[in-house]
Amino acid sequence: MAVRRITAEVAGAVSEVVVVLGQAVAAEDTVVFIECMKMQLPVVSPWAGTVRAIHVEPGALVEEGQVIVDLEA
Amino acid sequence: MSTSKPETPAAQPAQPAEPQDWSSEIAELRRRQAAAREMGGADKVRIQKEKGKWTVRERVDALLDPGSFREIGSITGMADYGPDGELAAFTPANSIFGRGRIDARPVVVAGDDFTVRGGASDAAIHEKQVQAEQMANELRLPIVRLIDGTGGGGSVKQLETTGHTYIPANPGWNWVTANLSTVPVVCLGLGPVAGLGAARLVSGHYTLLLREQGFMFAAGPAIVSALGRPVTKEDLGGAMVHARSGAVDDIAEDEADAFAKARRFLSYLPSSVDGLPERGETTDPVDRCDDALDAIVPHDRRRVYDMRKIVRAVVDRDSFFELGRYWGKASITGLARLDGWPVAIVASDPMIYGGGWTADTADKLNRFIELAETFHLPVVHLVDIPGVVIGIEAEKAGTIRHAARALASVYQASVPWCSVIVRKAFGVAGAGMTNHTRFRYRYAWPSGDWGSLPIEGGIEAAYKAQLEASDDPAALRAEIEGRLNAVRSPFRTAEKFGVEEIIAPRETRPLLCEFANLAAPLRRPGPTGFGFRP
Repeated sequence: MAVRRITAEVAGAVSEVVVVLGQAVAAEDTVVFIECMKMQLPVVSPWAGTVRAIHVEPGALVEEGQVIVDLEA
Repeated sequence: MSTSKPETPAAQPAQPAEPQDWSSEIAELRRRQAAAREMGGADKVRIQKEKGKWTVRERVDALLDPGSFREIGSITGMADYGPDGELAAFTPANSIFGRGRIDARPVVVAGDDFTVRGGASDAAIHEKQVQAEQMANELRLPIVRLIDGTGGGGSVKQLETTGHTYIPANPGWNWVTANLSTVPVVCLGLGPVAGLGAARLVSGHYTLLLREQGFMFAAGPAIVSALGRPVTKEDLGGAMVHARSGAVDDIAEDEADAFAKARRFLSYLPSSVDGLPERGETTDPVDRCDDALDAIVPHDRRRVYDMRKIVRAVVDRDSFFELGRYWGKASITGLARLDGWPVAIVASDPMIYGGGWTADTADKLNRFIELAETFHLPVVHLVDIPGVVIGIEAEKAGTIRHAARALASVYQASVPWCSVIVRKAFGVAGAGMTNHTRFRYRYAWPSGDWGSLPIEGGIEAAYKAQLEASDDPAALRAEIEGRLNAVRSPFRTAEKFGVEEIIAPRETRPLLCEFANLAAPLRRPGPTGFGFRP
């Protein structure tokens, strides 16, 4: 088991955090939505695993490549 | 003895019997060829294998149709001769080339041998690389470069033997450059690649780095770390670094994957610009309609969908081969087949900036449209473009110039072109879906949504005075939005022939197959060129 970092693919404002600490997610599950170009763009987990840290909250501005969630996978 | 008597042959001085044939020389040739096939020797080959890497000769065999390789320069190398003039030791050149076949079509292959002096190019015999490129160009054959070696300079140690420095010149670069406009060039980065090797790697139509084995940098981690910040090979120039930077088009999971991808890429292209992409076999019916497409785009315009699902559903089954997956991600680009005909697919990805054009997305579009134009591939564009991406970072990146360059590519392209508006088409970038002055071979889905500006962002600016004067600006804003949305239906645009034809999404494949069949006879072989672009 290793900690893997889920990063934002786009810059924008976090509009919704979908997961909670300790939650199990499957690959392709959405963990956070980012508002960008007037749309709700999902940040999708590339792996299955357990959420170990959430680095953003609603309203936070994020940059492309910023770490959003740590996943134990 | 009478001087008038003719001498008989038996009277001549004794000489070794003249050989009956050339078998001795042929045996020598075979010995030398066998020595060259030993590459850097058993120890160096073992080290290569222990790293999980294949030898250059294994790679050539894996790339080409079985038994089809015919080497050129098969006994080149550095030889030492004993006092008797016999060959005493032999180190083969670490660059090999020749021709072979891929799917029965002839190609040129040129590969670096890392087991000889780590692929350092001072052991390459440069003229072999030059001849490989020239052969591809003059015989109009695709070329595949198997790159696994360091730069052109070799080592500064060389100065001790040459006794002078030289002004660098990149060997064969006129051919490397000319080939980009003449024949398909595939470059596989299968080991650490720097300097000249790096320039050779990226100078292709399809380039990749091998995951965990392929690295590329202008200068390696030792030199870069000495500048201050320590870096690893992987962080500096790993496969994913350059798949994301756009320096290469793709990554390969392992050696076999690299050669399979090279073969697959070439299957969509003609052998040179003088030919046309060949129709392949297909068992996928042209009238196959995927009902799921009628439900794939959400009514809520703020919600996204999976554009790759749409691409896969409309092209011939399993025919989509994506290029540049990891960079310029707001547009998906790749090769595919429609009723067997090779085509170039461009498709917006709403998951990335809503499909809006970033600077790197526009760059990727440029590169891909050039590929389509160069090798006469009709273009299908699945459009969902909310505009050029906005914001400080986008401005700093000079996005608008990159976007204008992509627009110029679209307007300079002459290959047949069909656009399908899946959802949004706004502003300058949305207008770049097609060259609107050509016959507009275009369809829209009922989810189509277009204009100069999106309503959601335009109300505040357009109705500023009214909103400021209102007691309840939120209610007024909602009322205005309701009025504007009422005229937003794509059917109103279609009434005025502002969009040519609205279709049910499920009908897309049959219509695109019809396009590919109509486009096929319109393709014109020969060289193409672009004018100056922003």
